[in-house]
Amino acid sequence: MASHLSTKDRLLSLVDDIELIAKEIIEVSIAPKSQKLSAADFAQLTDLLLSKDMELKKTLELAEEQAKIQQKMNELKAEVDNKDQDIHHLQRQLKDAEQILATSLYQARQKLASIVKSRKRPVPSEELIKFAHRISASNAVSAPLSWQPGDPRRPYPTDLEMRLGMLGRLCDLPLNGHTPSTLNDLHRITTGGVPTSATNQFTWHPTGELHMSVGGGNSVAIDSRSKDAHTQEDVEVMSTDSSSSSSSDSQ
Amino acid sequence: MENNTDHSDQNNYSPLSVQDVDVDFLPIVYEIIRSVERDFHDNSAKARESAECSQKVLELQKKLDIARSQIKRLPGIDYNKQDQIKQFEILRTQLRLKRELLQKYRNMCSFETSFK
Repeated sequence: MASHLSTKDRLLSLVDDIELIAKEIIEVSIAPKSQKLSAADFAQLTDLLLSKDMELKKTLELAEEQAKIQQKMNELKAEVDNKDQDIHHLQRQLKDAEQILATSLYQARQKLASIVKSRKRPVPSEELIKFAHRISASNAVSAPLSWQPGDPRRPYPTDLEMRLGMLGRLCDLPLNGHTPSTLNDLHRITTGGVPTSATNQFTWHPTGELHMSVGGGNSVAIDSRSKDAHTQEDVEVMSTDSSSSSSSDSQ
Repeated sequence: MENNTDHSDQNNYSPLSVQDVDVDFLPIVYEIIRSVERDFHDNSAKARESAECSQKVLELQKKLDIARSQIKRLPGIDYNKQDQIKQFEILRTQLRLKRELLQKYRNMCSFETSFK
């Protein structure tokens, strides 16, 4: 009947029943004689109380069994949790291993591909050495070991070379008022516009002065520092002028 | 009163064994009935007996309440036995499966080293 009920509910309802029956018995016993129940009814009530008490005790025995099962369940739960942790740990390790393997496999495949590629188009070492000589002969990669101030050989372009380059020529274009319409025009301007004798016009000397070669090989020293100071003064004067003029404008 | 409630709340969390549950209600009921049935000629004795009787009724009530709170603290009786056994079986199956999974992970085939 009460199989779907939990043991706790059964126990509590049994206690309720016992309370009710006990109250009924007490009320009947203190009732006046005219309202008293017959002996048979009273015996029935007492039997009911006894049976309920018996049932309560049996259910308590069941509760004891269930408590033992619960203890086993707790142990099982603890073990399940333990295994869960182990599984998570292993899964994490496997995941890490998979990632490492995938990365190394990818790299290995790339290397294999490059090996296959290089086998298809082999380059003789002599050619490589020649190419290395060619790119290092013009000091395009590194300055020579014996480099000293004044030596024009350097691994980066000089200011003048930059100006002679395509970018430098592009900056000059708006000043000329002539925009190249085609790529050929641009090529002509950048390559043919400046005479080749103008290259290496400026050279460094160990004294730190800048020399400009003029015409037949004579050089003129330029004092860059004094000139700098002069231009700075000019700038300052100009700035004061502009500030005064702007203030006058505002007035 | 509040202190008592707090105390019982605290007790609700600690599990109790079945042996600790006091369900001996019958002796008190018997004593109550006996004292009611007893016939006294002396009025003072009757009054004293009546007071004792009401005291015992209160005691019975208290015992019933204590039994209820004790039953609530019993472990493992939130389900009936069939359901509990089902859950037990489920847990056992879980544990078996987890053990198998762990074994599978541990005995996983080693890495294949067949390169072309």
